[in-house]
Formats: sequence, structure tokens, C-alpha cells
Amino acid sequence: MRRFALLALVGFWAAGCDLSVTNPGQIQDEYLDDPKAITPIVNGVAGDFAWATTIPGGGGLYNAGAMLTDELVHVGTWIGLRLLSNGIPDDWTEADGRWSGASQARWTAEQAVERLSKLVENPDRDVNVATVAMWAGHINRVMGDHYGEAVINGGSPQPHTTYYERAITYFNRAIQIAQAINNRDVLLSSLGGRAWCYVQLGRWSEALQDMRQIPTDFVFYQIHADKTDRERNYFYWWGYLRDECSVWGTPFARWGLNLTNPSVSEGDPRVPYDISGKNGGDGRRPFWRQRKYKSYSDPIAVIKGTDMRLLEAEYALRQGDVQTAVAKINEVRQYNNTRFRYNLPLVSAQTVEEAWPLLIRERGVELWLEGKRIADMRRWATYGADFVQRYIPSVVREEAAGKPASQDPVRNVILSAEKLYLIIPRIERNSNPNYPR
Amino acid sequence: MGWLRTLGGIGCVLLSAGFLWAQTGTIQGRVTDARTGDPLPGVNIVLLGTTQGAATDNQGRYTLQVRPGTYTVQARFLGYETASRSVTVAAGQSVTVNFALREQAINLEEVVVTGVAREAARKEIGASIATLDVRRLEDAPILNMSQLLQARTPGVNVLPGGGKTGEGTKILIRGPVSVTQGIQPIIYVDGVRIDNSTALGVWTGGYSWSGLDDLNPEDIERVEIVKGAASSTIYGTEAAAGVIQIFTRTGRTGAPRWEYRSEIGQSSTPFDWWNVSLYSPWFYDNFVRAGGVVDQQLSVSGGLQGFTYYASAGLRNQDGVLRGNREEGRHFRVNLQLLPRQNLIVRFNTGYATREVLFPQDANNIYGLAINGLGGGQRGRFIPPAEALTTDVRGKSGRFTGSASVEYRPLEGFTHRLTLGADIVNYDNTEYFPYGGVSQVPLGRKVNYRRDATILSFEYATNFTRRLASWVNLNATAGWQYYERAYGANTATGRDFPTPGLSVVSAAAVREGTETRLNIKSAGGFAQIGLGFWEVIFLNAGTRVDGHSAFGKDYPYQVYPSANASILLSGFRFWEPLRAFWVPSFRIRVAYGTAGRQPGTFDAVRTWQPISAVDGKPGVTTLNLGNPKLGPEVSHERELGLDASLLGDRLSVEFTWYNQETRDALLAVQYPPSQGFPNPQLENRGRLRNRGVELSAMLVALNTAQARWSFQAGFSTNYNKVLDLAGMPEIPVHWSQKHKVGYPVAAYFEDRYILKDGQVGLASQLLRNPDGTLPDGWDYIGPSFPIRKVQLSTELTLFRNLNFRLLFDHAGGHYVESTTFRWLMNWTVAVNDPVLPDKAGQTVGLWAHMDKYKNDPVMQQYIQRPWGRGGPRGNVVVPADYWRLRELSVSYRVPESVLSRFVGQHVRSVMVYLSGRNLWRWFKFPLLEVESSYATDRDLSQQEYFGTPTPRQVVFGLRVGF
Repeated sequence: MRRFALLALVGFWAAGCDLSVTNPGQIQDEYLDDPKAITPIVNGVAGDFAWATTIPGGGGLYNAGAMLTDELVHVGTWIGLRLLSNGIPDDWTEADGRWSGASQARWTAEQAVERLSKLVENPDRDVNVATVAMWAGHINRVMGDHYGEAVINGGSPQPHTTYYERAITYFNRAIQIAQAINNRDVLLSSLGGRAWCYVQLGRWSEALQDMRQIPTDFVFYQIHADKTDRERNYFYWWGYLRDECSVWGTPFARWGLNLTNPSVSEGDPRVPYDISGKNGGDGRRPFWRQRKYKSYSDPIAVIKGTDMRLLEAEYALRQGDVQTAVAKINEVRQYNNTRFRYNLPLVSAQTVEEAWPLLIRERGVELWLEGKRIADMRRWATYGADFVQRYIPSVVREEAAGKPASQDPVRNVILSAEKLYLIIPRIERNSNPNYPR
Repeated sequence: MGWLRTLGGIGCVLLSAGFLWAQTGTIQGRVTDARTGDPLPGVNIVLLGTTQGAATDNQGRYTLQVRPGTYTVQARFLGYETASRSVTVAAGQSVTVNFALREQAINLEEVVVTGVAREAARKEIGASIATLDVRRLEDAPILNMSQLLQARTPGVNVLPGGGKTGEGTKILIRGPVSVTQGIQPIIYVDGVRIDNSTALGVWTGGYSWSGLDDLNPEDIERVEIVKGAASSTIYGTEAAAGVIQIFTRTGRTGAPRWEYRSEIGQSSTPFDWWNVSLYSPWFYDNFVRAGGVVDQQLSVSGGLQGFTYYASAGLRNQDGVLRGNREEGRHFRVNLQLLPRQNLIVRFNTGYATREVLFPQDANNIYGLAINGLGGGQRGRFIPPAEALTTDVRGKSGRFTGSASVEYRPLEGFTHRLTLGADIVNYDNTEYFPYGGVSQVPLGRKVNYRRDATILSFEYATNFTRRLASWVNLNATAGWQYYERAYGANTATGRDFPTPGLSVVSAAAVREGTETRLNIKSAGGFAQIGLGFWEVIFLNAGTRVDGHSAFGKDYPYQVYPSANASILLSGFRFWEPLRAFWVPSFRIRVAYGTAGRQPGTFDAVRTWQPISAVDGKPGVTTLNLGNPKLGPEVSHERELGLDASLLGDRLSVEFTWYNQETRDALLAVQYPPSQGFPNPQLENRGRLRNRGVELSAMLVALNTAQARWSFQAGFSTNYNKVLDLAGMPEIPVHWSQKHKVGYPVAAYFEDRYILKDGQVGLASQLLRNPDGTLPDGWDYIGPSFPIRKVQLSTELTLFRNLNFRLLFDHAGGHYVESTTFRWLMNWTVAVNDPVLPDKAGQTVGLWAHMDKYKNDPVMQQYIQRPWGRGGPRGNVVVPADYWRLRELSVSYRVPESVLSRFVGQHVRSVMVYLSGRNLWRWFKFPLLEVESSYATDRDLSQQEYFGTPTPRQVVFGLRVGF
């Protein structure tokens, strides 16, 4: 009996004293304070940007922006996307996912700048520090474009322009290092990003200085791949494979190239789409598929020289300089004709009133589904009600109760939207003690 | 070599057992019903103070070989009074001890072991422990363990995922005790903890798996259910949601007793159950079928001196009611029991089961059969439903559960018990889209999920019983438990096959894989002390101290105390007049106990996750914020109850009131995503409560030699409420389900149409205050889990051999979120639809019940303005109340006189039966199935999404003993 009791006690001791376990596969925070972790950190920052802009919450920030503006119309079943497409602020779970993804991308990029600056020998001449600083600038910029307010690291809400100010800080750092080590891609991408922020802040003169340094043929892409779900360009899913987001009902249906029946559109090849022949997931609206992105691997332009030229055109028009504006538009069209062997006719305008529609259309077509339209719309909204009513195109909004989809109301994007931006969603509002309830 | 030594050891034990039993006497006898004189089969005969026992055969006879000495022989049988007799046996002598047992409505002498770590009479325990005697369900329509547990015990809810065969179930005891750590009880089989993970590992619209259903109901002798912390304290961390302990059959000394059971039958669903869509007739004709059921079971049991055995083999094949759904199960079990010495018993219990389930694509799934067939007819809503049948989804499991236990009684009243066991489970689940099978996956896809889980359990308990004085008895128990779980899972995904005919991941052009490994360890020591006064007052107190590998660095251990008292009022002298006046037994009980629920493996640590980025390069991003102070949530439960038999034992009543509160509840605290970690972090900061009553009653309305008619009723309520969310206004659960302070756990909150002051409109409009604000709770709809459950059953036995059994089951007061309803209201018939040409292109919803609600102003709003056309933005949440005829069976046991005349002594018993399950149903709201809920990674999510109706199941069975 004594032996039995001893056995029991030994068992208890053996079992009770060591409950430590080894569970592989988890990366603990301190593992990243190692120079060998630099490359994965940098990759992670770039990956988070690509992911946040195209995946969480039904296609990330870009698809949300496309829904909220006139780039695509919702024809599917996802509630959050339908709300945006109807011009209603989305406070559904998709909004939580979108915000979480973007915030994560911003925090990891900014944290990477800090961590890498301590890890590398000479942070002022290190390409990795420059790269993560550039991405920190871009994600701040994109959040500034899409959100109505800025919330940084659990703080109180601030104007959305805070993101632009923050982005400029990171772009400054990236530009400084890129110039020091002569890294063209990081330099031009950061200059373009900074110029964009200056434009959104109304600081046109500083923007023009940056824009002029960027050649028209410069394009900096975010990388997508079909190797894992997280790397995919989900425009291909929402707008082609899954019948959720349609070109039907947008001005782009008229401006673009209808591949199924080219004669019914203006035929701009920068906006290719086809008619699927079936309705979307909602069962009533036609599903016209975007064909700009033909696979999950297609990259998306982050900064383009053509964008800079068109912003310069916009500045010119704001100054009443029609000739310069038209020249800039045509420079973009000529570049496309040369680069892609398109046959885009050159445009002309004699007056500012004639030139504005050309520019608005050109920016829409040139930057279609690249996450830029929402910032354009928000900027144009500041040009006054008259400007909006006169120049901003219309798109299908809401549903005509009990009627076919062809009778769904068409409205001016800016006028019909209560607020042309994404709101800070519940997940942040409810968890952040500094956000007033 | 180790195995050889083990086998050699067993052989030696057997030989020595034979020697030791050479000089013996015999105790034999017969057990009968005191009133009718009928023999009672299956009565447990126990020699008190020893490890020896037997069970009566069909004639009520038993035989025990014993060493010379004086013994107390006890006869125990559920539903009958326990009887004891003292006898002295000399070497070579045979002593006859017969028992005539009196039927008793409440058996307070019934022995339970779960929750007390020793064999204890029910009257000694102040906490509520339910027992299910499976032998009494021989003719019930039970094909798996979930059906065995369903609608049997008040407070135990079996929530099916859906009506497809092989779909998993959730078991919820009383109410949800946790908002993050799962709501299901832990399960033990013969003292060994088993893995009951529900993850299927491949997404097919939300199927879950039920590990419990790997067990063969035919092998089960009884089930003990500990419903909450008041009685699960000795199981410590992880036991807050209750414990289900399953005991498999054991052999009895005597000649081999073979038993063969054969069942054939059919599962089916009438058209009305599918009639929710305009496409339902077409869908029903093309995809719904009657599925065959075949169940064959063979077992043998018996024993030699000092050695008993039970062995079984079973086979079950069942077709589901949807095309492409089938389940096949094979079960094997060998249980051995050795008695090398009179004070030593060694048990080896082993079971092996394989199960394979073929699922169709369905539920929340754009490739699903029902969503496409009911939502779009022949063309489908997303793909033609015929394409869904080209896919192949299957789950395969193999499970070995084995235990070895040693029970040693060195002295009278002093017992040691050591149990070692292992549960080893392997899953091999696949989802296969062939090349060219589904238009949206043109090149095909294959996912293979493999999971291994090994659970090792060790338990030691010692019990000391001593009569301190003539009026006081002491019971002391102490011991420890150790539990270790190693889990490994791999997912291999391949897509884009170069040619048709390929079906393995390695044949696909694009391949990826994942690997997950988790280890968990838990250990705890426990001690209990019990005092019994005059055999009528029993006081028990105990505690358990636990450590767990998932606790944070700053949280070394957790203490769980418990105490309970049981007072047998009918044992006092003052009760005599009442006893004479038809209240023969009456007990009151009170209990308090605590138990825990541990955090997840990595919840305490700050971690980052690996990602693939920039064209397949390795990257990292944030994952888990971490909290080194993380500990278990602790459930505190109080119970008050009474057990009474009335009307001279014709009516029995058991009543329990419980109040359970989970403190330090593990909340998924959402930190601002702007701080970089979007995933919620677990923290011990919440509080929730479950309250309710459980009542079961049985009335024997008629009890004569030729007829016995009894009625049973079970009633339970559960009102749960979130008391504290650490300042968070709400925590989203799943779609419309949220946790909010002051409301039930995972309740539904949503804008919806309502009728107020004769006006119909959205709640967000009609409930608005004059100042434009919305009052708190304006969007509250109701709880997602039943607040009341009712079971009503009756059993009529005629001429001792013909038996009728009927069981109605009701759940109510809760709601279910229906995506089916939302989509059918919203979707319309396409232009040129080949199935519904007369309605083609009309912008009317597909829902089939429009006419039924034409005078309902609220429903008219949904009909006129569904989601896609200006209605409320969420799913529709509807009442989920139901009544079902859960079981109906008729059985006939061929009289022994007939058997002996026609088949001689070779056949002991023959029973034939016809039984049905879910033969009738009533729903408050006409959904496909109000009980179904597609599986997510959250136990609390309840959403009906084109779920298959729980089918009717009719089987004809034959049970032969020989």
C-alpha cells in the first residue's frame, strides 16, 4: 500500500510541477529584435499595405472607395458594400475589418521604422528604413483619402488631414534616405506620395515641386500574387469571379471599353469590362465585369507619373490655364498610346468649362480602380456646389422598391452621399476610451 | 519487448487468479419485482467492501464465487429500492440470497461516481448529478450519441448543426458559462478525457464534426451528467460547462452472452418541410431523397472466475436526405476486468471506431446545394446545383480510446484507484472540386485537412470511509488528475489541375500547406471530506488546486472550493406520519461549487504571425497583444433542490434551482485597432450569470401485473445575462448576435419591422425618443438559446412484453437568425427561368409563404421592402420555438415460454421494435429548420443558413440474445 501511495505522490509531483509546454510556430515579439528579422519585417509592411487596401471587409479600402464613389456599383449580397454603394456610411462588420486591416498596416509600418532604426547600423543610409518609411507614408496617405477622421494609436479623433501630415513626415524620412543612397523607386514613390498629400492639404506649390520630379512613365506598384489568399488582388474576385461589384450603372460603363459589345461604349481601353449575361448576387442588377485586373496577381499602381501630370492639369485649370491643362491631359493620352499602343484621340478645349469634364473623365479613367477616386471626389467637393452639380457624373444609388433595376435612381455621387468617406467604425469607437461616445 | 512483458504479466495475473479462487463458496439467487414477481434482468449485485459484483440475467438470476467469509450482498437497480442482506459462506458451500425489490420513484441509494471521485449513494451528495440508464432505451430510435443524449435530461440541450447525417452537434448544459472559451462540457469515457473538437478543417458552408458521435451507443451502459460548477469542482479548470462521463459495458461472470441487434430503416423529409421557396418543388424532386439506414451490432460478454469480458463490433451505414450525404461507421470494443485478489480489480477498456461522412456542399456556401437550388432553381443562384454534386467533401476519423484502471482496497473502507488512459484521434478530411466540375472553379481544387489529437489522462484517487460513531460516518477522498493534450494539424491545398482525372493535392499546379502544433498540460490535486449523520444528514466539502500551461506567467495556480449538504427529511422520525400519508421519501439539498475554463494556448503571449508577402516572400505582422496575468475564468454555482416521492411512490419529483455566475470571465477585450493589434485580447474582466430551474417528474398512473403506464415530464429554464463587460458597450459575436450588459449572452440585436400603436415601421423609426435619440435596447430582439425546454413522455407496457414509448420535445422563448428567409425574400425569379416560366422575370421574392402572411402588416413590410429593396439591412431574426415528436417506439419482447418452445435454450431473448424519430414538428415560424445553425469558429453563433431539416427516421429493429 505504501508503494502505491508513493507512486501516487510521485505521479502528482511529476505531473504537477512541470506544466510548461513548447508550442512551435508562434513568433514572439522579442524574436523580431534580431537583424535577421529585418527582411521579414519589411516584407510584412509591404504585404500589409497590399492586403489592407484590397482584402479586409470586402475588398479593403480600394473596393470600399470604388463602391462609395462612381467606379463600381454593388449588385451582390454583402450588406456593407451595398450600404456604401447606396451612399450610406457603412457601420457593419465589414467596416470593422477594413479599419482593422488599415490600422494594422499603418501601425506595423510605423513600428517598423522605429524598430529598424534601432536594429541597423546606419539608419540614415539604410534602404530598409527608407522602404518601411515610404510604406508608412503611403498607408497614412490612403487612410487620409478614405476616412473622415483620423485616430492614431488609441488617441482621440482628429481631422482626417492628420493622416496626410503624418504621411508627409514619413515621406520626408524616406526621401532623405533614398536621396542619400540614390534609390530611385523609393525616392519617386515617396515624392509622389508626398505630392498627393500636399494636394489634399491644398498646399499646391509644394506639391508641384515634388510632382515635377516624377516622370510621366514612372509607375510604382503594390505587389499581388496568387500564392496565398493574403496576397491576392481581390478586385479580380469581387468584380469578376464573384458577382458582387459591377461596372453597370457607373459613368465608366459609358467611358470604358465594353468588350462584349464595343459599339455601345466610348471604348477607352483603360476601362475594359464585359457583360456577364447574368444578374449579380442580389438577383436583379446586371453584373458587368471589370477586366482591368484579369487575375489575382495583377499589381495595382500606387504612384503614377500620369497621375502627377493630371494633378498638374488640375492646378492649371484652377488657375484658368486651359492650354496647359489640355496639354497635360494629352501628354497622358500620348504616353498611353506609346506605352500600350492604344489609339486614344487627343482632346481639346477652349474654355475652363469645357476642360473640367475632360479632366474629371481623364482622371477617372486613368486611375480607375486604383484607390484614388475617393480623394479626387472629396477634393472636388471643396470646389463648391456649383462645380459639383456641373461636372461630377452620376451613378446608380439605392434601389427602386418593387421596380426593376433599370429604374434604380441615378444620382450625383457627391450630392447623394451623406458623407463621402468611411467612418471610424464601431470596433474603434467602442474600444477607444478617447473616442467620444 | 515492453508489450511482451505486459502480455506476460496479464497471463500471470490470470493464472494466479485461477489458483486463488480454487477454495471458494457460492452466493446465488434471483431478483424479482416485489409487486409482480417478474424477474428483473440487469440488476447490479454488489458485495459491499469488495470489488466483486455481478448482474442478473434475463431470468433475474445471478451467481458469485466468493472466498469463505461473511458478506453483505446488495442489489441495486435504477427505479427500485436498494436492498441488502448479510450472509456467511463456507468453502464449497452454496448460499442462496433472493431479493424482491420494491419499485421506488426516487432511488436515493443509486450509486454515482462523477463529481465525487468515489462511489457514493445519491443521497449523500447535495449537488445535482443526472444519470442516464442506457439499458432502458433498447428500443429507442438512437443511432448515435447525440441522439442518445437528446431530450433526456432537463437542462441538457443537444443543438444539432443541421439535418444532414454526420453533422455535428453542440451540447449546452443549462446555459452558456463563457463568452469566449466554448460552452460545451468536457467528456470522459471510462475515466478518460476524450477529444471532442468540432472543427472539420475544410470549409463546406459550416459543417461541424462531433467527436462524441464516434462512440457507439450500443456499448454504453450509463451516462452521468454533472451540470455545472456546483458538482464539477473536482474536474477543475475546463469543467465549468459541465462534465459528461460515459461508462461502457462490462461483462458479468458466467457463460458467454451473445447479443445481436439489427436495424434497418429510412430517413426522410416530407415536402412541407422543404417548402420555403418557389423552387422547392423542383428542388425536392431533384435533390431530396429518402436515405437508407442499416445498423448491425454484435456483442458478447461473460466471465470466468476472476475475469470478465465484454466485446462488441458494430456497423452503421446511413444515407442522408440530401443527395451526396452518407455516413458509415464501424465500432469495436473490448473491455476486460480482472480480479486477481478479492481486494484488487484491474480494468482494461479499449474502443476503436472509424467514421466516414460524405457531405454535399451546402449551408453558407455559394457552391451549396440548397442555396443554389432553392435560390435559383436549375440555373442556381451562384452555380447550377447539379455542379455542387460534382464535388466531394468527406470527413474521416479514426479514434482509439483506451484506459487501464486499478482499484485496490487494502483495508475495509480504504480504497485506491489509479486510472491511466489515452484518446487518440486521427482525422483525414477532404474537399475536392474536380477539373471542370464547378464553373467558378474551372480547373479544380483539393483541400486535405489532417489532424491528430492525443489526450493522455492520469487520475489517482484514494478514499477512506470510517464510521466514527454509531451516528456519524466519515468519508475522505484525495487525489490528483493530470491531463495532456498534443494536437497537430496540417492543411494541404492544391488548385488548378492540369488535366481532368486528377484528385490529389500534389497533382495541382498551385499548392500550399499549413502546419499547426499545440500542446496543453493541466494538473490538479483535490481533496474532499464528507460527514454523514444518522444516515440522514450529509455534509461535504472539498477543494481543487489547478495549474495549466495556458495560464499566464504571473498566474501560477487556481483554487476551486466546493461544499454541499443533503438532508433526507423522510429519514427522520417526525416524517413517519407523512410517510404513511403517501410521501415515502423527501430530501432537500444545497450545493455550492466552483470550476473553471482556461484561456487558449497562446492567449497570454504577445505574438506576431508569419505571412506571405511581396510575391511569396516571408513576412510578419501583428497577431496577439498578450496578457501575462491571464488566468481561468471561474464559475461559481449555487444549487437548491429537493427530491420527493409522493402518492405512495407513484409520483416522483426532482427539482433544482441553480444560480451560476462566471467571474473573471475571459472576455475578448477589443483594444482600439488603431493600436496595431486588431485581434481582441483575452482578459479576466467579465461577469455573466445563468439562472434557472430544472424539474423532472414521473407518474406511474397504472401498475398492475398486466399493464404499466407511466408519464414523465421534464422542464427546465435558463435565463442568462451578461453582468459586466469591462466597460465595453457591446462585443460582437456573429452578425446580429452581440454581448451587451443586461441582456442574454449572444443575444440578437437588429433593426426590424415592428407594430407600435397601430403603426408599422422600422424599430429605429418608431422607437425613437421625442429628442431623436434611440432608447437603450431599442434593437434588442431576444436570446439565441432556448430559455425553456419541455420534454413530455409516456410509456405503456402491456402484458409485460409489449411496450409503447412516446417523447415530445419543446424548446422556446428564443430566436434564430435566418439568412434563408432574408435571401428568399430578396431574390427573384430570373428572366427565361426554365423551372418557373410563368413567374420568370417577376420582381417578387422567392419565399413560399407570402400568402400565409398577407394579413400580417409586419410581414407585409418584409415582403414589400426586403433587404435588397430598401428594407432593414440585417438578416431577419425570427422566433425559434418548436415542438417535435422526438421519439415514438413500439416493441415486443417475445415471451420466454414461446422462445423455449420454439427455439429451445439457445435463444435467451428476442425483441422486435419499430421506432421513429422526429416524426412530427411544429415551428412558430416556417423555416427549413429552426434547430440548425451552420458552424463557425464560435460556439455561440446561431444562424440558420439553408440548413437541412432534421429528418424523420424510422427503423425496424431486431434484438436477439443467445
